[in-house]
Amino acid sequence: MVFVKAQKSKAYFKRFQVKYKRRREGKTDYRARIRLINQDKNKYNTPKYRFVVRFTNQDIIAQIVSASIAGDIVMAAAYARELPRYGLEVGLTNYAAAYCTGLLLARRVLKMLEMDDEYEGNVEATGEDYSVEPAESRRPFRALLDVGLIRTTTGNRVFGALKGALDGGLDVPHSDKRFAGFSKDSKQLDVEVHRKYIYGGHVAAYMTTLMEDEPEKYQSHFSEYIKKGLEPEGLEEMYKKVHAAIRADPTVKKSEKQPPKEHKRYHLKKLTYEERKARLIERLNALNAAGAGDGDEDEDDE
Amino acid sequence: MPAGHGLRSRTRDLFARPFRKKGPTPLSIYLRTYKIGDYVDVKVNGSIHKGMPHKFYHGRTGRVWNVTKRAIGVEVNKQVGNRIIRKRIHVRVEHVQPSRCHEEILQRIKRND
Repeated sequence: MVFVKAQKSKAYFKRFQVKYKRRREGKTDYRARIRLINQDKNKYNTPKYRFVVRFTNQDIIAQIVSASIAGDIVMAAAYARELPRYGLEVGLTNYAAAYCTGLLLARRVLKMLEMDDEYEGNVEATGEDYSVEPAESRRPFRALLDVGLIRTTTGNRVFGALKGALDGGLDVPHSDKRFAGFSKDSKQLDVEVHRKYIYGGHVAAYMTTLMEDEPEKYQSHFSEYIKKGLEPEGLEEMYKKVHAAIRADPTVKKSEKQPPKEHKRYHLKKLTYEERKARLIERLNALNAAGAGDGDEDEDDE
Repeated sequence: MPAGHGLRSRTRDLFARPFRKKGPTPLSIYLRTYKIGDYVDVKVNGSIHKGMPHKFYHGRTGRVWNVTKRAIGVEVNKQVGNRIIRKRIHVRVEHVQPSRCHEEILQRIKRND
């Protein structure tokens, strides 16, 4: 038995300072969060909205969030899982889907605030940099992009979602440096390339290459596309239809859920404060009644 | 050579963060709003280096007279010689807490209304 010197003593644990819970989970970057949430004090209670974009393995989450001491409040949210409702069934986490999700969120928020007629945004998605112009009556809805913990490289899908929101009519301060198609050498956004990505052109190109070179890999990789009968040439048309469908009806559809099943209680249900007080009064009354009956002589000697 | 009387002299313990509370500051500090006329306590947060008041004001309570982008103007009493002067300082919000000295009066007002 090898003698191993104990590494973490009781003193170590006594002095150990845990990081914040969400930092331990690796989910929140507090340094960035402080700077995103901090509102100018001379703006008092005016909320500062964040445009939060997060990617999971099979979904894209886009939300408009404002912070409060009790907890963050989500004003509106859009998920890539809602896109089948608008006609997009496959490829729910690619750049084009991110664009659709951002667009859906923007139209949803504007519709909620009844600003959707004033701020149409960019209806025809070209790839070029578009910023909302303030209309006469109300100023555009401003939110700040919150990327979370991802590495902000050029062509990242977060910026696809950002482009969707911008074209939807939100005012998000940005630069075109990180859109897909920005070339570091010429320091310019190649609009054609960006447009290709928005309409899934990069996916279509890969599909055609695989079809020619490696048909088996094509079958396995794009099996869902083949099942739905999607050809590389038809992708752009499909995305155009999805954009139009999103603009037509961005409202949230509530899914019907059955009320949760009643399960048998294996332990006693916890009583509420009032129930416990009532029970105590009952027991005292019972005791007093019993006591009055038994020991009338002892009452005065108490 | 002598010790020197710089701005932050003799503040080794005063400005130190409490045990196991070092590092990032909680976000609720940034979400609080202050209005002119509120009472606030000045308590220095040693990890935020900007907008720190002088060590004299640590632990003092005063009223808000100004609100700027990231800081609050606080009016604090200071005894200078044989008189008390109302001094106006600007402090970043991380070094300020809402004071409870006025809480009882506000509750009484609410009850009486």
